[in-house]
Amino acid sequence: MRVKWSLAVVLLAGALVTAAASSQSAPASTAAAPPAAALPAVALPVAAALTAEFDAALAAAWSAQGLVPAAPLDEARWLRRLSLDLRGTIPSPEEIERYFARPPATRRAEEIEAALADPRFAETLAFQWNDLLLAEAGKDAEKTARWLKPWLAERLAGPITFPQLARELVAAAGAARVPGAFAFPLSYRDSIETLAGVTARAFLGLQIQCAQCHDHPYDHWKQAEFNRFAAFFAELRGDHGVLSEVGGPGFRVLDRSPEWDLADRLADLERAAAKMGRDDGAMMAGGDRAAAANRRTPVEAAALAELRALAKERGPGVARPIAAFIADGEALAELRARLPGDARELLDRYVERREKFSEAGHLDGRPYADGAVGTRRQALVDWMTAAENPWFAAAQANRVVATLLGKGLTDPVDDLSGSSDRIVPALLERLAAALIEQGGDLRFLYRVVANSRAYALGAADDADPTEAARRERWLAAHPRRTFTPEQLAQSLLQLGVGEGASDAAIARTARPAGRAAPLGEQGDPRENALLAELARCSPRRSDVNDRTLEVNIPLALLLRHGEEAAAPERLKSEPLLARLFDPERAECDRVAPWFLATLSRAARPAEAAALLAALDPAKPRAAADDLFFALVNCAEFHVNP
Amino acid sequence: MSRRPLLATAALSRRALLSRLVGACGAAFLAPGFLPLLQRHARAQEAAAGGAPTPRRLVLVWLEGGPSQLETFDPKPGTATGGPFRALPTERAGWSFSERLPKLRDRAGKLAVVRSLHSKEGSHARARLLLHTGFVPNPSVAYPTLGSIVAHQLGDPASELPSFVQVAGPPGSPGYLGVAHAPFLVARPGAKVANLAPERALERARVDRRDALREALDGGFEAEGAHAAVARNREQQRRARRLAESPRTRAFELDGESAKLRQAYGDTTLGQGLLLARRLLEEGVTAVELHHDGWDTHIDNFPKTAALCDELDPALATFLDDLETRGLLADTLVVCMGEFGRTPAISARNGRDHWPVNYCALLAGGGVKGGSVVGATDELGQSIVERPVSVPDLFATFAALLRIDGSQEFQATPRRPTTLVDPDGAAITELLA
Repeated sequence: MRVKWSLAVVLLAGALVTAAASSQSAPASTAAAPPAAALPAVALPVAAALTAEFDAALAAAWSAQGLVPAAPLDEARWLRRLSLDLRGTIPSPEEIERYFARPPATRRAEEIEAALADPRFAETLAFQWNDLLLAEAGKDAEKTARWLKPWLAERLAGPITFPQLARELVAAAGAARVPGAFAFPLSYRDSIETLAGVTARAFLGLQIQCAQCHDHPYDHWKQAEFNRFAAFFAELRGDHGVLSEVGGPGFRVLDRSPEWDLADRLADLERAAAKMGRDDGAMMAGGDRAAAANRRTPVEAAALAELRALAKERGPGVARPIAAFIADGEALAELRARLPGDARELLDRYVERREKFSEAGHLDGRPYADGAVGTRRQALVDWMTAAENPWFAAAQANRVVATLLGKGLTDPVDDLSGSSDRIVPALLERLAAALIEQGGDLRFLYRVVANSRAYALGAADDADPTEAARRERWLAAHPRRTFTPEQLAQSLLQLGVGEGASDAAIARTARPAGRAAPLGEQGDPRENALLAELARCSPRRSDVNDRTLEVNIPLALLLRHGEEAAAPERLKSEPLLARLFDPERAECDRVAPWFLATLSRAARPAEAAALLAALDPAKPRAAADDLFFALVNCAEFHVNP
Repeated sequence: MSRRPLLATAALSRRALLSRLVGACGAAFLAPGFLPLLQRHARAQEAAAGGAPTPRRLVLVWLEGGPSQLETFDPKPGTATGGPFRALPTERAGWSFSERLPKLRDRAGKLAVVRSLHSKEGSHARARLLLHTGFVPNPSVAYPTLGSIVAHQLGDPASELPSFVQVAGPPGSPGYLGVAHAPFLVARPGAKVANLAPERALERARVDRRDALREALDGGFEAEGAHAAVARNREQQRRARRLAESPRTRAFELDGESAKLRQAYGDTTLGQGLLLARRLLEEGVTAVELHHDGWDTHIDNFPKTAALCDELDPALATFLDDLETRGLLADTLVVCMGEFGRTPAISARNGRDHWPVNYCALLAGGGVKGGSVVGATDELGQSIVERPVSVPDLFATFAALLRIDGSQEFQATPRRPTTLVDPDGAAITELLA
């Protein structure tokens, strides 16, 4: 007899049991989804209608494919899944209790609304977007994330649309003390090709980055198209330092002509060289020949002086003198030969890029002409977020589906043009159209998908992994995923792990005394200590779209016996210990608080019996430690169901 | 000093190996991924028992930042680009080392140097990936780092220590080979492995009880249909416990080594790291990677590179000697390289900038023909004049030396299979002994 877990939870929580509760966890015996009464009407009729369309389209596809959808997930597990996906943590026992105390007909939809309004939802999205945006930022990604994540979390907490998000990131311009959104373009200011590739991938779901070196191997993008797209970023200039605009140290992102950039960079190099006192003199003892090779000629000195003067000017007049200089092949060659290595490299790059990025053009062939409206980056965002753009809305819709259901309708999630692995293409179009109708409202799509029957499906039995994979691909079964580092850290902290985080652990991640906190750095020291431990234990997967951790040896050691994995005090209180060994109580009841806290459900009788049989009542604290150990180290704890 | 056995198990027949492990740990180990690993290693063991050579090991000394070839393995003294240092000739005409690497020069008979390595990648991130994976980086495909490839192909599944250990530096990714082959990170040589001691402090009976409790839960979850998740968890828990209980973890501690030897390696992260590497190899680790940072000398190239060479030279030379004394060198491929070289032209900041046009790699040990030099550059070191070597060629060479079949295919993404090693490369036969 299958235990109705959610019913047991309700009983344990002491809430009133309503008759309707029994219908929630009854497993479907046929391929049909749970009876309609189990999924309540959603407050917003538009979202509800789209949810119904979504489910109908999938059901038709499953039927056509001969696929049997998985049985619906038990409600307690559904709550765990929702909590992890939208709040970034397992639900606390209090949250579980509050949930099951509500009327069953409406509580799922209400929980979804509450989760979407929860600031933790904004944080969860901020982690995801941060990783997408800084995917190619290399070694600096971690440092930059400290600026970008708080900005994202703040922006995503309020009502926001996808087009607004895109505009504030891609066309970010101005100066500020705290970089915020500027962190995104600033990370890539040395390589606009990389910026272009990341932008296309994150916002348009297009993998054009391969086309920067050659025509794309298996998609239709040509190198020329890539260059025209990247040209939208060719005027981007970013820097940081003491800025008059902010009256102190700050960050700046602007759109200027490429000539300006070259002039400033050459001037910088010259200043740096002069500062080191190595002008035309010997580089070091015995290095005369090297010095001679790098001695500047009058031509070169004049060129640099000219460029320095140009740097002082502002406005369109800048373009002509340099263009004229470049056009004179002989002067250019001489200048090139005499410039020191870095400057020569800059000049070469500049000349090359003048050609390469002189003309900007949209990926769908829509015409573009410079100077029409605003800067190139603004024009790019206008095009990206226009209703006619073939990819923007679809990319966001596909990503929401993938985030909640494990795979997108098109897979990989961000390869809309190159992938041939698509299910129900009309459905993605429908979602994209609906999103546009809603003005790109970010929470709208999450609401639609989270309320669906598809989102309430359980996982497949993977004794036959191929069949399980096929069902998961068609969204007829939900994959068992693991946690992201943030989800694991938050869940452990919520359990009370790390309450006693030693001063040593916190100190390990603290800054040296006397160093001011960089702007934007924030966060709970316990959380930071725990995240640092997790980061040390488990390198990220290399796929930017799959941020989950897999348990490996260091992580297993940490959870088995690290400081952070010690059973928390709140689970070893006198009343709880007394309860654990109370012979008057049912076995499931005795272990209930531990199960609720870790696995978000009640214990099965067989489990409870097996566990209690092995625990020693003579040493209740040790027994609680052992029980906690088992719960936190078992596979189920690490699964987002 | 007695030699410890290299592997935890004696050479067993494949069937005996399988049944022993299955008996010890339950059928769960025939989970996807583990059986192929067992089979690969068993095949290697069988081959060994049958007289074929034992599986080789890898030590990668990674010079982070792009070491200047002109101040290390391809000096051009007395030229406009040569810089202030002299060169030390070897017995072979036309082959010399920078004066800052005298000990390595003295051991040239054991070394092979490739001087004509080239690539198109001039940025650290991309070049680092290229030189670690052997493939031009592609965001759609997660290529595994070299150490993970070696652990996957040649690692001993019965080893109590992880098969791939990395000392310092950001961890490489195992890519599509999976987390089981991710590097085990040691932040500092000599540092104790984190979180081992508390496990040891518990009585065995208590640990048994805890694991039994965990297994009770895992059994239930598996019965629901979560076979893969449970199998993975069981495996990692088992390996973690085995590591915690293994006396071989003393390999991570350096206190037992003689002060004289420690001094010969040098009191540096690299020096002590290589000493640690030797100890790990002796206890069954298959691949070790060490990171030596600081070679990105855009400013003040000469004093900085000199200081780095002063660390590298004694460390690597002592390491090679040490391996040889213990009979380990013949089966250990030692590779020393960075992501690119540095510009022949010296910059206004007295530095050298990135230069992937021609740079060097050093190989020694396992199957390498000592005293070889491959490729040559022009007088100023600005171009290759002889025998260019691409990175795929280099990786094909590694595969040949390690006796790995680089043409094996893996489903890197659902749509695209990839081979372990770039098929466009050809092994440098001149280097194969």
